[in-house]
Amino acid sequence: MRNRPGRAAIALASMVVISMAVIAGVFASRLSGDPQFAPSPLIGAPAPAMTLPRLDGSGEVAIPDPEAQVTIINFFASWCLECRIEHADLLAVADAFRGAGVRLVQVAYQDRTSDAIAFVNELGVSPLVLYASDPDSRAAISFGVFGVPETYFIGPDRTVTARITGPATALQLGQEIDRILLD
Amino acid sequence: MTTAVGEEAKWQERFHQAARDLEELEQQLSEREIPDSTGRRLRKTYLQEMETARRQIRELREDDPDPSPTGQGRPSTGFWTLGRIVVAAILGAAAVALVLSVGWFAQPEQQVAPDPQFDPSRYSDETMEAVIAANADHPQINGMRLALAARYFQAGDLSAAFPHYREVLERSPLPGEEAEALSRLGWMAWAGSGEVQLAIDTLDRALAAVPEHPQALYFKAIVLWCGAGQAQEAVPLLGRVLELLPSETEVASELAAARAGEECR
Repeated sequence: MRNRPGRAAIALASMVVISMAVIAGVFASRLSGDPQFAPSPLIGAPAPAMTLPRLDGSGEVAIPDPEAQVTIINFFASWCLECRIEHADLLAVADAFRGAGVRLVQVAYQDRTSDAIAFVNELGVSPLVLYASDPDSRAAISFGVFGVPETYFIGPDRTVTARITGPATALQLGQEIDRILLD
Repeated sequence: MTTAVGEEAKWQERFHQAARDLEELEQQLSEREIPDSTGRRLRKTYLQEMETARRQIRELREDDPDPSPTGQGRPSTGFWTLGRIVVAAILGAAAVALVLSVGWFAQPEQQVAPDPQFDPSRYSDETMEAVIAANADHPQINGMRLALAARYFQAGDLSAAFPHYREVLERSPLPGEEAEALSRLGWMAWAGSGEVQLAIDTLDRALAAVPEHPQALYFKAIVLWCGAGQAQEAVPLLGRVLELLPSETEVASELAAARAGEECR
């Protein structure tokens, strides 16, 4: 008898099970709903300002782009399968908005430079896109990147307006750019 | 054991302190409160501190893989029952989340096609161009192409509309899509380049795809009347358009004018 759990233990266990179910529900709903526009403490706050080395080592990339109305920061990695899914959409958006002051910056996240370069060479390089590396994950830490792919939007007032987690579609990207430019 | 736990807590605190310092440093650098050279040095220090703390925590955990104490302090069987329930709950929660997340990972594929409720007026030309370019091979993208091309056409930007209509014709259009694209191209051949015969031929192809396509009928009537000077040839076509679209008062007045043999307006 002494080895059976007491009422307090059962009550505690029940609470734990219920709590875990709630956590699972929240987690699952985040994944299965419209997961991609995600909250971030940075939204509405000034974007982290920094310069990063270009991926090919030929200079630096300023974040946010001082000449752009909208800067899109996309964190990617060569080892990230979902980054492959969104790559064509990102390039299409960079091309379609080339006359609208939109700059896409792709930042390699925890990746070997050679692998990141091979990745963009394989999937498509655009002269309209700036490619950067992120030594010591400085940019990723500043933006609070949780995993790749992640995409941040910076508006004309240099504040972060939105964050997309997971592979972004051209429709989502364009929707947010439209919203920023029309505001 | 107590020492190990206390040691780990100490390193955890050092890790978090270094992360806080790093965040503060980035803020100071962005506001140019400290020189870049100092910032670089401090950043390196903080990152090293974080790495050291992380390594120490990992080593402490590796040194003590089974954190359960033995002997005097061992918890009761009730505790282990509770532990098993907690583990089961965690595994169950993870399984539920994993199963549901499968749908999420499949979502990008599902999102490719514009849904039936898609309202192009909510998006800029650029957004529609990007969606079309990113999904050029999708079988349902013709509808979006036509919507964007129609927007260009109505704005008088025929050179922007033209490639989309051509692209629709090359991508297995449905009969309605084919008639829409051909009728607009036929109109553009006449209105844009003055090519009357090419326009009529193209409009005939549109009517072969959908014989009662009001737009193709109307455009052909206008090209015959205004381009070829054949007002009487235009009359039955305008009459048919009016039957199909009885509320089009402008067509009614054009029909009356064509019947009267007037020059096109």
